[in-house]
Amino acid sequence: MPGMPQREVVVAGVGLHPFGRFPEKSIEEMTRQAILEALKDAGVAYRQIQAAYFGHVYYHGMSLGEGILRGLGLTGIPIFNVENACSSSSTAFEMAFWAVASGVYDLALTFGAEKVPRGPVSVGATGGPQRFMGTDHMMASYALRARRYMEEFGAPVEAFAHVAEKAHRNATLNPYAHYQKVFTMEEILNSRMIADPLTLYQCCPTSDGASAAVICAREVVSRYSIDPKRLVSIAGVALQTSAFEDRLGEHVIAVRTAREAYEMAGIGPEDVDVVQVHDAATNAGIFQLEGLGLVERGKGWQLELDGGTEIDGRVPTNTDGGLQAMGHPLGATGIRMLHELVTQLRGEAGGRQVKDPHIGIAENSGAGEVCTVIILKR
Amino acid sequence: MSEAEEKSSQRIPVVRNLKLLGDGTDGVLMGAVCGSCGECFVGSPEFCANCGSGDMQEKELSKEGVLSTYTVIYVPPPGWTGDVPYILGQVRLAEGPEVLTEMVDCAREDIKIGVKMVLALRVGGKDENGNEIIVHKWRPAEKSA
Repeated sequence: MPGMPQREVVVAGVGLHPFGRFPEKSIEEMTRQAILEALKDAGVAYRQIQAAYFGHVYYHGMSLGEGILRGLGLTGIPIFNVENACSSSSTAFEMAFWAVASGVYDLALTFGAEKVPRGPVSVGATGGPQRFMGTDHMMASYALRARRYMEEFGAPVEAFAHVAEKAHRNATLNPYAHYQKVFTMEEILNSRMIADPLTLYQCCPTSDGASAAVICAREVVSRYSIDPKRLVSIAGVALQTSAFEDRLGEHVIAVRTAREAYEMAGIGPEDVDVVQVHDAATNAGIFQLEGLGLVERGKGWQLELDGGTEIDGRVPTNTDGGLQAMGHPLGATGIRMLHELVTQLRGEAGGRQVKDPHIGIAENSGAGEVCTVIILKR
Repeated sequence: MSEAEEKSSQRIPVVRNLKLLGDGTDGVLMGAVCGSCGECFVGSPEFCANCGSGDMQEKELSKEGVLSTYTVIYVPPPGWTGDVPYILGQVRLAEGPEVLTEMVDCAREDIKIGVKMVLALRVGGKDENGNEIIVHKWRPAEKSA
């Protein structure tokens, strides 16, 4: 446990570039659009930002954060380029949080972006002899867990497919999503098999996209033209990586990371109103809920089939479409989750609005394995 | 084959901790056991992830284990030159760790979690120098090598 924050930190503004395929746009252009939206949403000028934290994975040249911000007029501030696989921008956000909470900076910009090449995602560097093992396959690692979960708890593959079906339904109400159309259970289950039991439409799309959030120390909010009525407090953050105890069972990493975040926020899973989990594969949309303590281990699949994760369910999850329908520009996903939680907590989610939420939780995973948990409160 | 040709084509293990024996058709996975708490790991970590001790002793790992989960890959990762689809099996060794690699000599219908698997070595491919890359695989225990 790293210790408690010395002062409260709030999210003042959020922004997104739509997720999808934008071959005519550079990563710099897309990211600046998300940043400008966040600055405008916060009501702050770029010149007022004191530090910037940027999460991304794929190489587009050195010092990409500086390259992006050059288009806003470089101001000499510290810029931190951060990589933690799919949890890069959550990591960047948590680093910024601790700096502001500790009094190092008052106002910080956090952002994430990616342009993801098509095809299966590899974790390791390409070209080494390990390509002959055939094991470096992101969806394979989820498929292995899916098979074990099905055997242990009798879960049908339909429960996993439902995660995607629900995600796509939610995304029809989200103009930022990569896919904004309905997919039926039949289409999802009959799509091309990737890694059994996960079919193509149970694997998140690879996408381009960018996200941004401006955070501020609460005690200095009045120094800026930030609307105090739209603030969202950062109540708890935690980031952990694989440890020996993970041998004890499935998704232990989410359990211990969430425990740390809940403790910092002074709440429990029963207090959570709206949820984001890392549904890179559909089965993760279920087992991560169990890891967060929102449903009992082994019962998540039943909750899903019973409609418990719908916008009007007991555990509204991935209300914007999650990775399944938003798509997964790796570096942008973490802050994209927070964008939706902030929008929900402010009551600005329109047709996707959960009834009167006060506490949101975002679980963002990364290869390594990394788990980040961020709790927002309003 | 001339001496020069023999020397130029070797058998190389796919990972550092696969120790090839004899002419390279047999081998064993190497791991490490903590001299302090007894926990076992694949490979050669400097420190024990359980207790932190630096007293790590090299150990040959079991050549058999129990299938704990599996998947069938229809869209392989870049560089794969083997069969498609192929089966990946995750096997738990008696010492504790699990090892993931291709399952061979078994039909999809015969796969069952809990079944005993044994290590088998296969040629995975050739590198740019013509060396054979030897890969450890799992096969069902009741089949012949």
